[in-house]
Amino acid sequence: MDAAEYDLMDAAEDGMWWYRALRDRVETALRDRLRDNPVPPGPWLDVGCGTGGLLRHLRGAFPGQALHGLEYHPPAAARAAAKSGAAVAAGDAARLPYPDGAFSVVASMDVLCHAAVDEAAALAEMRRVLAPGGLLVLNLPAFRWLHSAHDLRVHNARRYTAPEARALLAGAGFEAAGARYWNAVLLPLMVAQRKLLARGEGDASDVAPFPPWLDATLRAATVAEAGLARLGLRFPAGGSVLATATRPRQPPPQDTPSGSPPGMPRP
Amino acid sequence: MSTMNPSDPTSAAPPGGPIDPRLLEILVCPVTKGPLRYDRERGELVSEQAGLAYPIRDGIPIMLPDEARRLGG
Repeated sequence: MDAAEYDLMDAAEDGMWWYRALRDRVETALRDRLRDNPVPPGPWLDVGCGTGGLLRHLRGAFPGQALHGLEYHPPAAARAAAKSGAAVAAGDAARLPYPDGAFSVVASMDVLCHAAVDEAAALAEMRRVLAPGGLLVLNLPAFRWLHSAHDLRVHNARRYTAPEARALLAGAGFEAAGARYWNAVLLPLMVAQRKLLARGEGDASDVAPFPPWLDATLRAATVAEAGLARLGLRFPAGGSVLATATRPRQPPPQDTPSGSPPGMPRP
Repeated sequence: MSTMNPSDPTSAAPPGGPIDPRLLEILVCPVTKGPLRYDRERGELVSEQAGLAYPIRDGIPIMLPDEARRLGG
C-alpha cells in the first residue's frame, strides 16, 4: 500500500457521505449523553480506528480532549496517528493493551460485527478499560435480513437489531444501554426521490438522471469501499444501530457469605 | 522474529521510529495487563511477565502477541 493509495482512501473516507453521517451521529450521541450524564475526566479511545477519520473529527469537535486509537492494521494505525494527532497503537480489540479504567469514553465503529473479532471478549475488554461511569458508543450493522454478499466481502459476521444490541450490552455488564437505528445508506435514494417528487406535478419526465452531486457521492462510496477492502478493513453496510451504554459506577453486588466485611471485629 | 532495522550509530533516532510519549505512559501488555519496559536500543516494548517484546514500527507499537519476539528461551 503506497502513500498515494492512502491519500485516495483518506480523501474518499473524509468526503464520503456514509462516514460523514456516522461521525456526526457519534458526535451527537456523545454530546447528548455527556450533557445528561457527565463522565469522569480522562482520555477517550476509538477501538478499531481505521485511518483515523473519527479521531480527527473528535479532535475538531471536542478541542483539548485527549484521544487514543487502536487499530489492527499497523499501516492504517500509522496513518491514523499522522492524520488525527491521536496516540495510536496497533492491537486487537479482544486484547486491549490498556490498564483498567483508563478511559472515560470508548467508541468502536463496526468492529464487534467483524468475523475476526471475538465479540464477548472485545466487549469485556472495552468494559474493563472504561472508568466507572464511563461511556461506551458502538456502531453496529443492523438487521440480519440485510446480510448480503456485501457482508461476506467485508467480513461482517453479525448483524443486530436494536433490542439485541441493548441485551448484548446489558449482558456484558453495562447499564443504561440505548440503541437506535439509523439508515444512512438509504439517504441518497430518499433525497433523490424527494428531489424528483419536488420537480412539480406537471413535469412530463418521471425520471431524471442522478444529479451530478449524487453521482459523485455514490462514486466516492465505491472508491472508499475499494480502498478499505484493499486494506482488509471492515466496511459499513446497510442500516446501522448506534448504541450507547455506561459502565456502572458501583461494582455489581457481591455475594457476601457473612454479614460483616472481612477483617471487621464482630461485636 | 527480530527487527531488521539497520541501526545507524550516529543517529539518535531509535529503531522503529520515535514513539509517542503518551503511549509509553498508558500502554500495558495485552496478555498480562502488566507493565512494559521501553527498550530504546531495540525499539521494543518488553513485557517481562509475558516473556514477549512488542516491536515498534514506524513509531507504531505493535501490541499483537503473534508479532512479538519471545524473550530468552
